[in-house]
Amino acid sequence: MTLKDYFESSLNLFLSEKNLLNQNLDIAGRQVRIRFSSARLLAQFSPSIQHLETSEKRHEEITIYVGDSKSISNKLKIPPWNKDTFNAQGYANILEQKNYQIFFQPWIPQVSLYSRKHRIAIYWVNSENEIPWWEKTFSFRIIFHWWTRDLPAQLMHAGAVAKNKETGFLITGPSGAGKSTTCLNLVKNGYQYLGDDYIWLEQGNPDKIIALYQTAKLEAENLLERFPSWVPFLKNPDTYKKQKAIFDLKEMYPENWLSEASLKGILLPRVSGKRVSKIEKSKKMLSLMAIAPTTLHHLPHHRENSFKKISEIVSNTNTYNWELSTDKVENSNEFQKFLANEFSIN
Amino acid sequence: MSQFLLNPRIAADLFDGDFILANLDTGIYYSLTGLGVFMISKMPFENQGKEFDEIVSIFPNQQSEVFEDLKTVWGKLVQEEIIILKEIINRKIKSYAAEQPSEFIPSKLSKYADMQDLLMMDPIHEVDEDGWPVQEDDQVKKEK
Repeated sequence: MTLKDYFESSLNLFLSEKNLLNQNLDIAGRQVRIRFSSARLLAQFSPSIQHLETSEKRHEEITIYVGDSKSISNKLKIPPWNKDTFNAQGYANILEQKNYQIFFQPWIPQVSLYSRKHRIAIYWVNSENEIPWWEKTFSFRIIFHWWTRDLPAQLMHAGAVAKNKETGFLITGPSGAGKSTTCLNLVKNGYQYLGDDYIWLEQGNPDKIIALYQTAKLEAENLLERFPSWVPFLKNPDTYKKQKAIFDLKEMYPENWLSEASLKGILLPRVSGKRVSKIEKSKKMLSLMAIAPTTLHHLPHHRENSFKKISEIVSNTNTYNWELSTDKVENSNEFQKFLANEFSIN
Repeated sequence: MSQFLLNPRIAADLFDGDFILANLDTGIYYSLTGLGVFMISKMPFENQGKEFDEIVSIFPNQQSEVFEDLKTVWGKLVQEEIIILKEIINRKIKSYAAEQPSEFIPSKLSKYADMQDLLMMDPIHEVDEDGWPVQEDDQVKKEK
């Protein structure tokens, strides 16, 4: 069976269903139509992308079908290839994926599929109870990634905050560098939130950061040590110690929410252990090294295309190292000073 | 005629005079700084010795130092299959414009292989009668 055949047989399962529930989103001015086979599935995936919902009905630029075995009359067949075909990233090197894409990790009962020509995608999970908890915090991430191949846009593994619509920053760095903490501390200090894990970068003049997901995640230890006042707002109070602590930032800070901002720079925070906080210009290649490896690891399809876009985006903006102080107030003051000195913003 | 060139499987880009080289198949990344950047920017070429001589001649007072540096970084780039010897037939080869350096800065090739381990993850799992994996609590992995 070819990937095209598998896609078409999977799609037919949805096309024969009569009661699909529709949700329309607006991402960077483009309409997304999601068709759920059940209200339960809609409820699982909506929280992270609810802020993108629109009542406007325009021609959809992509349609995503979402289903599980309980709500679709006929069960989707498991991908027919040997399980060794797919690597840990859900990617199959040996399958030709120019026109159709598949994402399948053989130990997780879910699969995503996409037809590039028709801009139709499918997300299937064996049952709603088996959706991995992380998938719900970045709903349809791999599908959005496939879609951006043919758009002037790229999903990037980075947090983002902004002073206003004209002044946005990506915050990125290796694991443990302090990017989530930096991002969320800035939000607590009144800056605008656009994301803490994945954002949508719309290329243009200027490049724009689009808030793709409204959920934020923290390690349990980090939450309890640095953000204890957030505990009442946990979306997963029973499981956060086993998973990550999940929050709906738009709900917590509605005045600090921004849907998009122009990209003005990339910040690379680093825990220095010192009292002094310092932001200074740095090499652009450090931003590329902070963003590309994890982005391309999570989103392994059309990597050359993604690498090229990430390189372009990084080339077009300045990179700044940020040596973080042990004192939160110092960090906040330094960021304010940085905005004033570098961008004349008070 | 075969030429030395950057492996086409490597994605490469110049940033402020430094090279980032990414083997997108293996998830291994490299950064290259110093004189090696200028050497790579002159690719493709046929005659490695001739190219080395030209670069060495830029620094007449540091010839042996420069030669050793080129020889060392060349060896590393070949070992990592970043540089290969290949016949170029009707192929458009991307070129990189790096300025001729005014001072000798030793080459440094750094390798980043953090993502490699994650490529190997493949937990053992049970399957149901349709072949779908059975999700058990201890198989739910934290997203990396």
